[in-house]
Amino acid sequence: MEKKDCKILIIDDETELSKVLGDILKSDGYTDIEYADNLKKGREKIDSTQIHLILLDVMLGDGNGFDFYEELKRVGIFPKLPVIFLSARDEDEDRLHGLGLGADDYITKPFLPKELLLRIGAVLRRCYSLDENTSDIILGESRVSIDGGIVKKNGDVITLTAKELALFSILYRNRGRIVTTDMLCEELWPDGSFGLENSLIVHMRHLREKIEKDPSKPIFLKTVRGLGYKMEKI
Amino acid sequence: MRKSPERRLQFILWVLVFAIAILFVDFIICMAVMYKSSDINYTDASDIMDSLSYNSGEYILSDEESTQLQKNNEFAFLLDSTGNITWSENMPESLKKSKYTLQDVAKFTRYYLDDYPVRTYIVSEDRLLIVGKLNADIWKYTLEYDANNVLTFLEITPVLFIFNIILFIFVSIRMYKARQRRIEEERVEWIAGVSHDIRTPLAVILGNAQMIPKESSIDEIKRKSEIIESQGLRIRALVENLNITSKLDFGTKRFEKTKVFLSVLIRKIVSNTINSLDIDAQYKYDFELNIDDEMQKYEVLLNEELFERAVVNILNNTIRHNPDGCQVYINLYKENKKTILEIGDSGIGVSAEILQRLNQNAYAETKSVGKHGLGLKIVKKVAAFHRWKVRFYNGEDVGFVCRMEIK
Repeated sequence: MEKKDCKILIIDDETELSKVLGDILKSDGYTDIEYADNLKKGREKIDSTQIHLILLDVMLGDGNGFDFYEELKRVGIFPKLPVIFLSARDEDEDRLHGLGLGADDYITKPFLPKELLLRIGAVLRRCYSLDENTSDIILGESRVSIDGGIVKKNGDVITLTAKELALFSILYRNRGRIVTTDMLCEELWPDGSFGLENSLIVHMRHLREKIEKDPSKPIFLKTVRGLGYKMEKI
Repeated sequence: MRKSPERRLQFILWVLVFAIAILFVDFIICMAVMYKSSDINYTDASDIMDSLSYNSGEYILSDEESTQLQKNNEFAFLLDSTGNITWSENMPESLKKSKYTLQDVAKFTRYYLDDYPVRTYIVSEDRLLIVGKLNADIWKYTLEYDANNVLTFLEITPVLFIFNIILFIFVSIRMYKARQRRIEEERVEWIAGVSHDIRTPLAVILGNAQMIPKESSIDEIKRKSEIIESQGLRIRALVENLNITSKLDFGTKRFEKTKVFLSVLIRKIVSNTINSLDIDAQYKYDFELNIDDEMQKYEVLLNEELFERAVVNILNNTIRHNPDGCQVYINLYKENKKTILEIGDSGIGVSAEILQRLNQNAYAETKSVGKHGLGLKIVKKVAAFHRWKVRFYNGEDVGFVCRMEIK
């Protein structure tokens, strides 16, 4: 499944905010976006079309997002339909309440578009095995295919190991942003990552050898000293 | 909300004066009530004796006095020295005994005569006049009091008085505090409400500002949209700081502490801060993280939200005051068994006057919200919340440093 196949429903009574949310999503490759400015309309949309993800405001004119979420859960639309709460309240209790109900994420307003897209992407990936990039990623002389798990460099085809591919995917999704070693280790070794920083360094070195022209002077896969790694924005 | 010492003194004096006044008024009211109510009227003995005439071995009461006794529902009689009733008026039959013994007299003088309250008067050397009430509820006590005890009472009075004052102060302070707390809670809610209302329009502004560069290739428009974005982010930080200050100051909300790896948390916070900068700024500021090896696996009990806010505020402070860029360093190390977190920069530093103000103990409580306003105040508040020491100073040659001693 690709981004353009995902139908995202935005339920928010602030139409200006819904509109800009839609623009942000479209700029990232999503095409199918539905809007509802109250719960009633949202209910109708959910009943009439196949929705893949809901961005749900907590306080709406005709009710409360938390209650609506529970209602959806009761009628059995879940477990498959992911919901991300969007709220102007950052009270910890609210956040915990939302996540405690089983929501996939809770984002407070005002949000940074980058952050929002990352989190939506993460939820979709988890629920639908979203293919974010079917085309090759061009990094200088290297073409990386995440689908194929291979790098084409100067006519050679080099296979990436599972860990290298995972590492590359995370950095690619977060391109332009620093990803800390802690986060990388956690993603790579979800069962316990403590003390695996050295393994991470080794994987990183191999990844660079396969992608970078000069692995000791990386252009794309940068080290951010003391913090982690970053893929330069391409 | 702290009160100045003068205000406190004024308050205590006021309470003292008020306590004395109330005590005084209480005393007067008490006396008045007691005096008023203790007024039990018996027909005057001398009036009876005056209207009693002795005529040929028989006493005769004037008609006037007789009706008076009737009206008052009273009876009266005379006893001679042998205990014989020599005269009686209005007397119940049951009391008409042939002889009253010494024991009888002793009894009714102190208490009651067959449940009738009576008063006994010595009207001459060999006669007693007894006046009684026919149907009245009167308590009689024989009062005996050791005169020395009056002194004890006098000694107790000041203690009682002080106790009263303490009670009064305690009650009024409790009431005052409860009221203050209610006002403060309302204020916290109000601020939370306002910041809630600001967030949604701010989300619209920030969202649109960040979409503009994607839709326009004109540099001037891009630049202006970036300004809108960065100012919007400033408002966001301000709203968050405002919210957190009010919650720290007056809130009933408890900030839970959890055990976290300090190094991991610091890396996360610094990365997030860098990630939120635009590309140009990312190159302007050179962040350097120095975490001692022994600190890598060091766990600390703290409130993550507050700690993050404090570190972000220090970093934002540096960025805002050094728009042309500078080095930023974050050092985490042990010194004499103490954990030290140093966040410093190679920027313009601050004036001695501001430094002095920042390092004042009461800085967190002062009102001024100037250039180094809310942000660093929260740093101090957060440190105080965790009982950490915090100090601000200028670097040896350049820059501004914040040093925290973490427990």
